Amino acid sequence: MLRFVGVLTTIYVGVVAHCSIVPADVAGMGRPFLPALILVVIAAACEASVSILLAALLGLILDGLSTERLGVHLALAAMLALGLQLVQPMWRSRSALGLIAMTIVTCLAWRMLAPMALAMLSDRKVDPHSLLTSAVQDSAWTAAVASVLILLARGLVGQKIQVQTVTERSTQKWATAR
Amino acid sequence: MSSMSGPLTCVLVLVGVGLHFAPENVVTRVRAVVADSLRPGQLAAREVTEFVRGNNSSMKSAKSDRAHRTEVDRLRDQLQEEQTRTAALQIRLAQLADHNSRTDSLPETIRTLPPLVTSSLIDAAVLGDAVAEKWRKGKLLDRGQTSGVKETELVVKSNHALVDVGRDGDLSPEDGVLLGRCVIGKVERVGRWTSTFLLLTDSGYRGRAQLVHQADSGYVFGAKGILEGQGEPLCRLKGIASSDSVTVGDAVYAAMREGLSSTPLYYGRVVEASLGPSDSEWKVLVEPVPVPSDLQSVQIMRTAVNNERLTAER
Repeated sequence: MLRFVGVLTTIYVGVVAHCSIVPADVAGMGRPFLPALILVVIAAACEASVSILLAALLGLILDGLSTERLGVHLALAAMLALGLQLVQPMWRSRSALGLIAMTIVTCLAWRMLAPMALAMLSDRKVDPHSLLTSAVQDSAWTAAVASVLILLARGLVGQKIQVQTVTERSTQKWATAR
Repeated sequence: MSSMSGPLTCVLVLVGVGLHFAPENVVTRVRAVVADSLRPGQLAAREVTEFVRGNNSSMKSAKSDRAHRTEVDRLRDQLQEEQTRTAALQIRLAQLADHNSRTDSLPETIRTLPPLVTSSLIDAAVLGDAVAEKWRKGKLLDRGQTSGVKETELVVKSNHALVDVGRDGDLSPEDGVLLGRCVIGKVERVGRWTSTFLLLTDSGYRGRAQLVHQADSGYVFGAKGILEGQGEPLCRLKGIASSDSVTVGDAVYAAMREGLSSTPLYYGRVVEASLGPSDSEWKVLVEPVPVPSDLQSVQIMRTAVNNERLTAER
């Protein structure tokens, strides 16, 4: 329950920070896309179905805050959350590097697919080259933010961060009990 | 991974598709709930940002830096005031010329009636950016229905000082407040405590506009058209017939609805005007007033029916 509240708080704080604190893309240099980072945190902290539901909630919030039609971010976030669960064995390599790598991949996918879907739905053309450039820039910024947060967390906790799912933890407990 | 994940994702994707085609009232309600629920966090974030900024500036308190910054700020304010004053005088001249030609033919009883609609400005703080793509850069405001904000109301640049143009008998009382103000966008959606606004340059922005050009006799109103944002730095002014005249440097103002006449507000100036041999209308590009990237506050132009006028008519 406490974990669930923690994840909800993370979503709220992350979205608020993304809208109010993260500086706007002024000179075409990109900006951190915190929702991608939040999505990875959700995927790391919750069980598969819960993480997909929470990702959908995150997507709905983004839809509500966007200036476009609703639904695109919700659907995309749910699919990305499913994707993160599918490749879970690859990125849960018990290192912060896995988190950062997945943040980059998630951010790239989100920043590419969302504008493309929105443009397609509203009969607007997008330039794939500029889209890719801005997605790469945003991913780099997001990865930088993720690195800083991990370093801060390491400094606070004083140990290596380990990514461990609820399922893994319960499996361990079960094994210990036996 | 649980076996439920796949079907659950499918259901959520379907929900997303459904929401995409949801009716406008549902969309508005969802947006309002989301924006309103994030308001406390955004207000707190704003306070924190301001506190940090304040601390930062006090830490970098090298005297020369401060003096330079103060000087730059002073000059910037002065420039802004001068630009506002110029725009105010420009529109005032055009308005007086237009007003004189119209009212000369009106009977005295109609001429002395107070305006049907009055305008007022309310201050609003910018809470942050909307989650938007390149072609749109909507922003969130801390004012909503409870402050009387309605959709499509104009958002103007907040100035430090009001332009003092005096009270001219031919101008309505609110002109002194509105003259020379620059439009930077319009309210798109209104929640209970928050609202979002679109910038002029955002794709999807549309507003009635009117040209004002300088003739030998002074400033005169020109053709009316529709100003459209294109998701680029320049806006497009559509609907100017080839028979009308447009020149680079003409001022563009928000055209108010006939009968609900109020003071026109400044949009920007024409930077490109071309007309092909077979074109039926001009291709006009307008450079809007620049909006600072760290926009902190704006003003919303609120309009309301003038009770004084209604009483006068009874």
